[in-house]
Formats: sequence, C-alpha cells, structure tokens
Amino acid sequence: MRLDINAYELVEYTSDQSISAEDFTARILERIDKYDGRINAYITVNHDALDHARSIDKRISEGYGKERSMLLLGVPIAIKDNISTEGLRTTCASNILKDYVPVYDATVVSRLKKHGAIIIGKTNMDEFGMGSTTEFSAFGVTHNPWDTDRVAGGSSGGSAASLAALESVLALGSDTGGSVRCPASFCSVVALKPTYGLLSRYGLISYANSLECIGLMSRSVKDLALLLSVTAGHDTMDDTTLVIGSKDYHSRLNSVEEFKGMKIAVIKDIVDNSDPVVSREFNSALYTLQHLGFTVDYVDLKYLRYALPAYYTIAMAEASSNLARYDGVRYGHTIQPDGMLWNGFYSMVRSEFGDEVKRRIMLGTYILSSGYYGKYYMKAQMARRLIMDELLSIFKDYAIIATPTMPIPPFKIGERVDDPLKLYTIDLCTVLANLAGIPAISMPIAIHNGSMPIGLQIMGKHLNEELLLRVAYAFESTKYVRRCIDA
Amino acid sequence: MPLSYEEVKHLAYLARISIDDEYLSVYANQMDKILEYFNMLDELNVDAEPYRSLKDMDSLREDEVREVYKDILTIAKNRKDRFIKAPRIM
Repeated sequence: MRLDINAYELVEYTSDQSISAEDFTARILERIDKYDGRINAYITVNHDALDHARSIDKRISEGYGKERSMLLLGVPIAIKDNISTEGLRTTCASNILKDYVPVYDATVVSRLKKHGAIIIGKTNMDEFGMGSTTEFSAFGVTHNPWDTDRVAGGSSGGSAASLAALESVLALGSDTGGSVRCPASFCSVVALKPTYGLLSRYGLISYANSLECIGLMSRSVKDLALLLSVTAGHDTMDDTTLVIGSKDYHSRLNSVEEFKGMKIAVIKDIVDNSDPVVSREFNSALYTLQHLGFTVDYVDLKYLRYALPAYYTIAMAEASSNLARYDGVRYGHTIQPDGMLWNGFYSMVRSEFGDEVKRRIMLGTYILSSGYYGKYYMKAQMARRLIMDELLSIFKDYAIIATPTMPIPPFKIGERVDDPLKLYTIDLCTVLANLAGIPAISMPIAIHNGSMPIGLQIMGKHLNEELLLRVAYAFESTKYVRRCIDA
Repeated sequence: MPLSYEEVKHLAYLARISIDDEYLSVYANQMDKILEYFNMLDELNVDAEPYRSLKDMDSLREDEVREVYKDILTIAKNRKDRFIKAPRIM
C-alpha cells in the first residue's frame, strides 16, 4: 500500500480487510522514525497508536467494517499541539506547557476517534499559534519537506509538513489569521478554514477566541470533505458553535461539475502587490477556473489596508487576556510557591514564554489599557465590521472571492524571524476570512522550481463550505499538483 | 511618541512577565514599530457598528451540573492532599 494513499481509499481497504490498520499505522510510524529528524514535524509521537490500530482491526474482524458508518476507519491523523488529546502531551510548542497532559479530548478529537481515526502524534507549531512560519517553537523549527532550507509556513507548520512528507494521512490544525492555509500553501497540501462556529473549539487552547477555528488539512479535497463531515456541528461544550448539525460533505463531489453563470471576484490590490512568481501562477489558476465555467472580475476592497492592523490589534488584545491563565498554579510550568508572593511568582513562571508571545501579550496589554482602548481596539472592531460588510456585499454578486493564499513563495528559514512587522505582512490574504468569520480553502496550484509551492485561496460566504469544496474538487480534477515529496 | 523603556517595564509588570533589563529596550524598539503601524487605524473616522458574530451570544444555558473531568487535580504540580498550593496574595 502506497504511503501517499488518500483517507477515503484507505478506509475502503481497511474496512475490506485488504490492509490491516496495524500494518499501515506501523508503516507511518516507521516513516516518522526514519524521516522526521530532517523535518521536525512532530513534537510528540503517540506510542499507543499501534495498540489503538490493533483494536480497530479487531472491531473490523467482528463485523464493524461492513457498516461503513465509521468514516475514518484506520486512518492515521496528526493533531496540532494546541488541540487537547487525553493522555497525550499537549504543549502548544511552549515551555510553559512542556509537560502538560490533558485529562480530556477536544470535541473534534473525540469525533475523529468515534469514526475510527488513529491519532499518530502532536505536531509542531508556532508557540500558542503566534507566528506564520513555525520558527517560534520551543521545540525547534519545522523544515519544509520540499526544500528543508525553507520554512513550512505556520502556525500549523508541523501538520502541513507531516502530510507533505508522508508522515500522516490527515491532519488537524488551527487557523486564527491563516494558520492552516499558509502552511498548506507553502507545503502543497489542501486546507479548509471553516465558518466560525461550525467546528467546536472545545479543547482548542485559546489564543484569540473571536478569530480562531480548528482547521482541516489533507492531501486531497475529498479527504477534506470527509474530515468536515466528521467534525462539523453544534457542541454543547462550546457555546460559540452554531446550532446546526453536520452533513455529508463528501459523497456528492463531482469532478465534471460546471459552474456556468457563476462569478469569481479577485481582489486586485492583493494580486498587484504579490511576488511576480505568485501572480503569474495565480493568473494561470484563474484560466483554469474560467475553463470550469466561471466568469472572473476584478474588485476593489476599500478597507483592505486596515485588515492587517485590525487583525493584529484584535488578536494581540485577545491573546493578552487568554494567556493570563498561565500562572503556574493549576497546570503548566511552575516553581516552588513556598515563601513567594504572587507578583513575583507569576512573573517568574511567565518569563518562560517565548519572545514573540511576550511581545504580543505586552502589546495586547497596551492596546487594552485605559486611554488606548478607543484608539486601537474599538477602531479595530469597527474596521473588522466594515471589512466583513464589504466582503458580504461582494458575495451578493459573486459566488467566490479568489486570491493567492500567500503573497510570496516559501522563503528561507531565518529570513524574516528578526523583523516581526515584516513577518506580519505576509498574512494579508488570509486574515480577511478570520475577520469576517467566513470559510476559505487553500489549494496548491504550482511548485515553482520544484521546491516552492504556491497556493490559491477561495473564500465563500458564511456556511458555504459545500460550494468551496465542489470548486476545489473540480479544480483539482482539472489541474492536479503534487501534494507530497517522494517516499 | 516612541514607546519608552519605562513604559515597557510597566507593561511587563501589568502582564506579570519578568524581563531582564537588557532586553527591555529591544522589546521597546520592536513594539514601537508595530504600534506605529497600528496607528493607521486613526484614519478611520467612520461611525461603524463594532463587529458582532453570527451567533446570538446573549442566551445562557440552564444551570445544570455536568460531570465532565476525572482526575482534574492531577495536572497541578504543587499539591498538598486535595489542595493546590499557591503563592501568597498578601
């Protein structure tokens, strides 16, 4: 069985018993053992994965496979390390949580398990989700499998790299300002940031809770749809989830679908300000979309220039609040409290945060402090509202908004790490979807010079995942780009 | 107005994060550039409603007890019997 098999194929073979879950899981673990030293996609490998695979095989031999109700039977999945997994260390790539073992599963994780998925391990990320390159991890950099001198993107870099390096079949990430789409674009895999409120955030360790979502990642669009069918829907443990159930997103994808009469809006400013390599490939992708029946128009986004400052203002403000809980008392890194007063104790414990995290917490503190709240945070929330309204009005006439996922190709490790602002600007295309709470898919459209993947981003209005998946599936069937390196 | 060493020192205190003196100016410099960039938001003089999410956040669930976590105390490292040790407040 090829290592690069898709989840929906693997499920068929596992259910039929043409392959055992244990055998395939063992092969993935072997791959990680041999190869991950080069990539550093994983922080923790799950040593119970083989046992779990064996119990799946046992259930199949008892007749479970025939029901076809477990949609991810025997599929190895990598989980970003800010998503809680019971009994399996969850660090958020931070020294603050380097020994933290959750006593519960995130809702999305329990749904995956219910459908027979096998948790292979926890993947590397930027600390607490704060970054776009997976260079800000306390556990080392994740290298791009296509060119190990280059960044894998972030903050879900480990998840994306694990897919491209054949170290998992599916992956979960989280997306606050582009954190599944950016690494997907840089690693030539597919990713979906769903509508805010469609997937439960219960168990996702908070960074910026009005912006972030669990993100889905895979090597094929149908796999993405399968993941969505399994994980979507209301959760009583997360009151920000919309009160809707899941549906079948994966059975009716059609490779010969046509989209005649539908229109795509392209944000002109973004394409004009992208790297020439990116805009060239993006324009080529637009031809493919036209070939599928779409009409393409260029539009202006009047409030585009406020997207990044608004995003970072809100994210940092929320981060300063959400990370206040790390005080070394109930969980996480700690020191002996005997004889210490709380100010000194808290400050010493919290000095273990990485630089970027400290920077964002302090900026967030400044933004929310008296006298500055109106200037930054209130203005940012207004800008957010204006941007969302503008995007929704575009959706009145257009089915989809398209942009390159990233304005530049993957760059060398270390290139932007000393200049925070230079790093923030690469999020321009992706923050729009988080600000508005709308769904977005990134898919590979080219691998420049064989080593620098380029991605296309398509965004839809709230709860329009089905359309995005149909478009992405048709595009993939027309213009397929490799999703993994050679084994 | 550039962010001063004293202001960053105060922010570090408010956020309860201990930072060595030698690094405070480095942080001040970086943070200053970022805040400068955020000043772009000053241009917005529109009277817009702030953002609200799709979901109606004003409804609360019934106050029913649900048993959820087993062994939750095991994750605290500084313990004495069934208590968690904490630093003094006063």
